[in-house]
Amino acid sequence: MTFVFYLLGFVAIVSSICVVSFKNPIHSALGLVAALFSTAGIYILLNAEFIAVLEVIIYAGAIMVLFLFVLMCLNIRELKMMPQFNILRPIAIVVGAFLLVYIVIIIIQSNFGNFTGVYNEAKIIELGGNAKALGQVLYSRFLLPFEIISILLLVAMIGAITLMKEGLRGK
Amino acid sequence: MDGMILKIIFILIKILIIFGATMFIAGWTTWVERKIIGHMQLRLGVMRTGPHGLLQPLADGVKLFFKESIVPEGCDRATFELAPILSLVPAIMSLAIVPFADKITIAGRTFEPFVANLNIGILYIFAWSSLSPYGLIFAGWSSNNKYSLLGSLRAAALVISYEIPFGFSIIGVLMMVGTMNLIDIVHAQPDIFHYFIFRQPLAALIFFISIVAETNRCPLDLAEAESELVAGYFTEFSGMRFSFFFLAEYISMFVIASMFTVFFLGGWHGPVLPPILWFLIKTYLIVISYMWLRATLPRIRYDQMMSFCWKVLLPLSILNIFLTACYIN
Repeated sequence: MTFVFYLLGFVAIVSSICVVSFKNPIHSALGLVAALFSTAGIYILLNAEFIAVLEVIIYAGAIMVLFLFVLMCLNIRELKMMPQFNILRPIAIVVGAFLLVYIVIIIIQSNFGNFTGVYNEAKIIELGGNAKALGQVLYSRFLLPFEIISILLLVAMIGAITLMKEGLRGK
Repeated sequence: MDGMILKIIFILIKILIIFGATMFIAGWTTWVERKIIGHMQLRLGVMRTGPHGLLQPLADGVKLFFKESIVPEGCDRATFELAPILSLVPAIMSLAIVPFADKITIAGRTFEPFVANLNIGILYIFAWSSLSPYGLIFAGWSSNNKYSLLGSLRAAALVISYEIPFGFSIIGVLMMVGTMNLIDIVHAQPDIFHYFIFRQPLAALIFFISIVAETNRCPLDLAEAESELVAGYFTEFSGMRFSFFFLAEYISMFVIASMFTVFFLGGWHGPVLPPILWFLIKTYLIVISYMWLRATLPRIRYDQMMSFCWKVLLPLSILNIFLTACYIN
C-alpha cells in the first residue's frame, strides 16, 4: 500500500511539473490529466472512492475536456514560442509563497498524519458507505453553504450567458 | 498470505476470461453488424470468407495487423501514438464491474462472475465514459488535419453535452432503488413487472438516446461523419492504431448496452435459461437495436443535435427526476 502511495505521489508531482514546464499547452493539459488521475488514485488508497470518482468525472472528464476544446479552437500551436509568465511573475511568486506557507502550516497542525477526524473507517461503514455518509452531512449540517455554492455556480453560468449575448449584439 | 495470492490469481483468471470473451464478441459484432445492415438494405453483406462470411473478422484482423501504420508528417508524434491507447483503455476498464450474473455457490465456495463489486458502481462507469473523449480529442488534434480537428471538436462538445442527460436519466432509478451498487439494482428487478423500463419509461428513452451519442454511433456519429469529414478524428490512422479505435467503439457499445440491461431490463433475471445467458441476450438485443438505428435513420445535423440535447433531453430528464420524487413521496 505504501509503495502504491509513493508511486502515485511521484506520478502526481512529476506530471504537475510537466504541466508548468511543457511549452505546448495541449501537452500541459495531458500532464494535468495525469496529475488529477494519480490524485484520484491516492483518494482510493484513503478509502474515499466516492471523492476519487467525482474527481475523475468532474475535473478530468468535464473541465479538462472543456479546456482542451478551447485550446483546440484557438489553434494555439503557433503561439508556443511565446515567453510564459512575463508580466505575472511577481504576482505568481507572492501567491505561490503564500500558498506554500499555508500548506506547511496545515501539515504541521495536522500532526504529521496522525490526525483522525470523526469519520473513520468504521463510522463510514456504519453509515452505509462513502456516498451516503457524505450526502447526509452535506444535506443536513452543511445545507446552507452547499446551497450558497450552488447559487454561486448559477450566477457564474448566467454571467457567461450574458457576456455571450452582449458579444452577439455587437455584431 | 497464501489465501491472498490465490485470490489475486483467481481475479487475474477472471480478468483474462472476461477480456478474451469481450474481444471475441467485439470482433464478431462487426460481422453481425455488416450482416444485419446488409439484409436490411436487401444485400447479402459479407459472403466470401468462410460460410456466410463468418471468418471475415479474422481476415480483417490479419489484414489490419500486417498493414503499415502510417504516421503523417507534421503530426504531434507523442499524442498521435497515445491517442488509440487512450480511447481503448476506458472501454476495457469499465468491463470490470459489468455484473454478468449473481454470486453462485458451488460446493461451499462462492463464485462471483464479475471482477469487482463496487458500492459506487454506476459512478465508476461514468468516470471511465467521461474519459473516453480524450482518445478522440488527441487523435484529431495530433493528426494535423482539419477534418480530424473538426471531428474531435465535435466529439468533445457532443460527449460533454450528452453526458448530462446520460447521468440525469439514471437518477430516477437510483432514487427508487436507493443504492448505486449495480448488483443491488439488478436485485430490485426480480421479474418483468419490476423492470425499470416499465417503471421509468422516460428515463429509459433518454438513456437510450444519450448512449447512442456517447458511443459515437450513427445517427448521432457526427465526430466521424464520413459524408462531411472523411472519417473524422481517425482519418489519419491506419493499421493497428486504426483497429484500436474500432475495438474501443465496439467494446464501449457492449459495456453501455450492458448498463442498459442492468438499469432497465432486469440484468440476469429471466426464466428457464441460465442467468449469464439472459444477460448476454438482453445486452445483445440492445446492441442489435443500435445497428437497426444505423440502418434506418439518416444522420442528424450537428446544431440540431446539440439543441436537441440541451433543449429537449435535459429538461425531460429533470422532469423525470421531479416526477419520481413525487411518486416516491
